[in-house]
Amino acid sequence: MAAAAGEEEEEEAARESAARPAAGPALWRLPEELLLLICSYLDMRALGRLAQVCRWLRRFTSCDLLWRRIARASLNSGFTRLGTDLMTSVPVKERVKVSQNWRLGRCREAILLKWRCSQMPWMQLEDDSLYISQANFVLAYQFRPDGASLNRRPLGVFAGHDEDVCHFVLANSHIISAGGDGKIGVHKIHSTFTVKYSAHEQEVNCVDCKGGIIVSGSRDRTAKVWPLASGRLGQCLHTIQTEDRVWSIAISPLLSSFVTGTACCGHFSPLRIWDLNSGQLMTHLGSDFPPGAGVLDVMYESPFTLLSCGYDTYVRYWDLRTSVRKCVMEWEEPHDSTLYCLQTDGNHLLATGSSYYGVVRLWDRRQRACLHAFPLTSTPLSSPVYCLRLTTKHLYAALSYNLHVLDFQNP
Amino acid sequence: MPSIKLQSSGGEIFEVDVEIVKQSVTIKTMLEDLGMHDEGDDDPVPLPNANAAIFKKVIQWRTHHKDNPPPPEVDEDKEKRTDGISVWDQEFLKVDQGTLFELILAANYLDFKGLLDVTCKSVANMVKRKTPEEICKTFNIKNDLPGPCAVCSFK
Repeated sequence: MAAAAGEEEEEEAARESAARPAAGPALWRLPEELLLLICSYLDMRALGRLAQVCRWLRRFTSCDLLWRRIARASLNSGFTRLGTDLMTSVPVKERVKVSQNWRLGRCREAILLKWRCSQMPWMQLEDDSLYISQANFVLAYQFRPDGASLNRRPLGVFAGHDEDVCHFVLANSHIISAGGDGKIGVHKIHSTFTVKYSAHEQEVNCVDCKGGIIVSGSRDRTAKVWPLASGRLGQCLHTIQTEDRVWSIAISPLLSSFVTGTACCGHFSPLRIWDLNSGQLMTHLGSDFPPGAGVLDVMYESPFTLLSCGYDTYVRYWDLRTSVRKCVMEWEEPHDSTLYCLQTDGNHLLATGSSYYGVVRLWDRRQRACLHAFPLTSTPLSSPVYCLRLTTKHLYAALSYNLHVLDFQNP
Repeated sequence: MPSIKLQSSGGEIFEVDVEIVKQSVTIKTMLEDLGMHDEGDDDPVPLPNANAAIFKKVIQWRTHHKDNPPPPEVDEDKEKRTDGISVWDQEFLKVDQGTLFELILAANYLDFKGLLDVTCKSVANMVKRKTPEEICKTFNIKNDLPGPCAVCSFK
């Protein structure tokens, strides 16, 4: 049974009396498995109150088993929809506590990084590092243990582009970057190895890399497929004529297809899925394509489910098994702003970044209405949220001049 | 109607309709292990972990519920509700705590899931909506936590 983080006193008491107090309450006649069964009927408030009854019950009611079902129904508690525990090292009760802060919108806001010139930064998180694009570089910073601040000096600087880095991803200790110079850069993280090659005739707006394959999308109205293999970098495998500027791109977890989110300036869907091996169109998503409804961010949540957002101010959840013509659920940005970026906890939480006033919104995917909105800038410096990333404790938002953090662990 | 003889821990023998107890995997297993059949053998089946008084109550509950199907498997993710206890069951469970807990133990031992569910729900209802002090009082538990009661983090 996992114990909650307790004071030293409790640890000592635990060592003194490993068993329940022997005599007294009739309740103790029941073996632990039956006490667990009784507790399984209690909600988190009742469990919380039971934990204040006595030392033994405090320890007993913190057991992971009792909190698992509650956590799976909570926001951002480290469980996927299918019940996989992504954070086995943290007691579930603690995660449910922090989850309440996400649900109630209780957080503390701070600025992690500032820069002087207006940027359109992109971000990735890996382990305890944050990677962020700044002009034509990608910088790596290390988080301090609290996750709410960074070590001032960057761990690494990755150069190589002649114009701004538009987008980048991390894959097997490499950074794959897409630049306004039409080039793709491949940088090995813990070394000085860097290669860049010409990929497109105009800005490369998006890139993804999985299973040794790179896909890139560009303003030049093509998407291209490349190998990530040292001898063959830059040897294009397929060029797909999307006939539309490609804003966002993602490879399926099955590695056999990829989706493009395009500007929607033609008479076809801005969301299309292509076969990775042949470069052929497999299907398009949706059936109503108002002009200009470009898709700025798209991601696979699982091999069959996707989330997309963009200029038409909606986030949409697609399930390829049920229908490609109609999305399963959609959420509307209530202030009619374009949605630049989205993230999910893989379960019930959705976070979006809007185009005005740095508004970050939190959504419970089981409801239509937005849960909370955090405007991170005020006039006159209205800025879009260009990129969002989240952990179970923090949300990071990159705007024109600042990288903001919302701390849900210590509100 | 075939009946079966069951013997409680104190030695008292109960003759019970087979229909009533056949949902109990424990009793079924006992019958198989001891090589007994529904008809024929007259020897009572010993149940060393059930005392007479509690056993009587269990039989009373099972007799009332004999036409009810066994409760369905619970979906692990769905919230477990504690409402929906029938009026008859509520009256039946108006007993002292000691008896209630003995019923839980007996239902567990004899594997009568319906009775186990309703008794556990009852105890859960005794905890819900009570403050820690009230819980201490209800169950006669001594509060040995240091300092004043901390504010509940789960509002």
